[in-house]
Amino acid sequence: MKREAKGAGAACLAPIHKGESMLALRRAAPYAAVLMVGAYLYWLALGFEFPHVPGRLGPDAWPKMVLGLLLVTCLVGLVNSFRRVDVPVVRGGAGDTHPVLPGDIPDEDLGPSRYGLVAMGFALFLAYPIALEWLGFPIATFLLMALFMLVGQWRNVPAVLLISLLGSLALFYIFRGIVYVSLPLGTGQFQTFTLWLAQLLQMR
Amino acid sequence: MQDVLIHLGHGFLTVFQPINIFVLMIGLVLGLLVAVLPGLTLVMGVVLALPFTYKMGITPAVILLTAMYITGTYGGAFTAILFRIPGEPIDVPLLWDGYEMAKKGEPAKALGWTLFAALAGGLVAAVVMVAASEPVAKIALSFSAPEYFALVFFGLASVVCLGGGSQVNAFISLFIGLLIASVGVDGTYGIERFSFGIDTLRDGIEYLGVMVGAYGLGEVLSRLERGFTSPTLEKVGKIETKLPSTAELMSVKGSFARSSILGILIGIVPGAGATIASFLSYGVEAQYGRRRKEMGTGIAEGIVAPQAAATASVGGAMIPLLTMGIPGSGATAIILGAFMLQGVQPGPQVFVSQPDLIYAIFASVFVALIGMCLLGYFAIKALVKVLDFREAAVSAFVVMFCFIGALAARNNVNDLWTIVAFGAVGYLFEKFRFPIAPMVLGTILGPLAENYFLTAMISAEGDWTTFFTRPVSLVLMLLSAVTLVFPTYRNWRESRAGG
Repeated sequence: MKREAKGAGAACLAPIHKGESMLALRRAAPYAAVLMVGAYLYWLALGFEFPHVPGRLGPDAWPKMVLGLLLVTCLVGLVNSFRRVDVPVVRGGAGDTHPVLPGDIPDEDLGPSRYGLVAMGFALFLAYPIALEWLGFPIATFLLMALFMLVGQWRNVPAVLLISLLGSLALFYIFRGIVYVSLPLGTGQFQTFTLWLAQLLQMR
Repeated sequence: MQDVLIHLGHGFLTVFQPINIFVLMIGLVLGLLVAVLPGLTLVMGVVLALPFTYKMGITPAVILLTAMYITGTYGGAFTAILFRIPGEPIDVPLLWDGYEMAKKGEPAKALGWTLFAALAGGLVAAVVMVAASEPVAKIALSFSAPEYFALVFFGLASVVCLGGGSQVNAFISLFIGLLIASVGVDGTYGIERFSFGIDTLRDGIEYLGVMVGAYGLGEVLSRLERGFTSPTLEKVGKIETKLPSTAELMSVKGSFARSSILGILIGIVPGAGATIASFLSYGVEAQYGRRRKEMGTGIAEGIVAPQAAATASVGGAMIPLLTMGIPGSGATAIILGAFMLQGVQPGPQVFVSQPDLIYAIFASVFVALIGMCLLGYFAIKALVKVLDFREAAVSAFVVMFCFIGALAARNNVNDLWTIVAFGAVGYLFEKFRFPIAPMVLGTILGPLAENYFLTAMISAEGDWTTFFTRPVSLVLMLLSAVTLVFPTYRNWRESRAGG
């Protein structure tokens, strides 16, 4: 979907109508969230304790300056959200790229957003560091790859399992055996398994 | 000049050493694959290659990443022109004329134009890079804190304003990046800032973690939201490249010159990369080109302009990286990371202390450009087959490379939490249309900006006019002001004209 330049009349400032208030609130939400976090961080910055040297800026000066600018910008974003400002996009700006999806497929043709998939994918990302320390690299990686492909709607289970198995072994061999990255071994029986596998693959 | 040529000759000898030419070839193939696959962007591809460089020497490491960077600006042209699938945002302008030319029954010709534009634009930029770097490095040696701060400030202003889209969102993204950079123990006073007693935060947030998380995991989550809706690959009988004739080349010399110069200049500007070069160059051609009214109908100028500028931006972006240690684009930021992981800080001193390294990198750019074109001419038919891979499987490997990249940098499992967190941030940014690039550049340049700002203020005893009383910093601050004010002025004019 190409976002065409709306030409001269692109910036539309109009009072908000009934029914659009929910949309405006949705637009405003990220600015409000950043504003609140920014205000909290500014409050924290006010409490930095350090030896003051007259005429010299302290370690609080830079963060306070950045946070001040962030708060002002968020306020502008908030106000714009309720004034329904459509940002003009001129062809030739990199912002043009944003809505262009692979194959130039319009958003609506890609189907609805599947937040459940995102939540499951993110849960796998969160679980991986924990699994890595407990199960060791090969098993944790095999599980992450297999589950991620299944979450990603690939239902060919034998292919998923085969790719995950070969992929995790290949990554283990390349990064531990060739690149010498210290990959987690796991604990207890899992550590024994990882070390056995390393020996099997003739790694040091 | 003679010294430069002698050093460059040594550089070529270094590049043709077996290990270096091997990694260069690997880089070319990987760069083309990354550019062809729509799920992988150029920057993400270079990020994913980073863990492979940890145990290499500095020269092959930088050669590998640079080769990927160069080919990444070219490979996506094939899928954009033949299948209407832009492998990279850089390739979107190629849909407008390249795909149109292919639709007219001249796909081989369209590919020939991209090959010519990439090679010629890249070579011109490489020559400029070699010729300009040493003088720029000498000038940079005379810079002090106000000049460096003004330069970094200009880079930050550029990334916000050249990016298009919502400026407010770009500013917020930038300020978040600058804040991320300030987390951890302060270097001067030793006090903790925003670390909340967490050990990982006390050490500061590594910008590589931010990049890998936001660009890698964030992008994967965004695509997962659509259930990995891969574009389908249409059948194309023959994939071949037909080079333009000399007469045809002469007819686009103006477009070629404009785009190459624009690409180099945009590459030099810190924060602006190949995507911006590609779009701006197309825009300039559409406004000032000889055949501007025919743009979008499948003409050569519409292919030459974005492609020449995109590849030329690589040479431009290498200049500030190598001469001042300031990355000109996302990909050069990762190359900077590779330098620093090897304990080398790029900057004017490197030209004096390690000229062999610098000129080997220069020579590798020339060799990579030629290798890229040969690969594109002879092997692309096999390479585009990667589009047949299931996106879920490709994404699973992308996720793994992100995790291994973060793990391998410091052998610390806690670093994985950083990339997971920034994966979520990257996804939310994408969702709410906040650009990621300003945040990443803010994280990279934040420590430099703070350090130069505070040093300049101490030297000037708190007098902020120091940034405006020195000629170089004055010019850079004025340029920054113009960069910041111009888009606002343009929007205001457009809204007035629209009534």
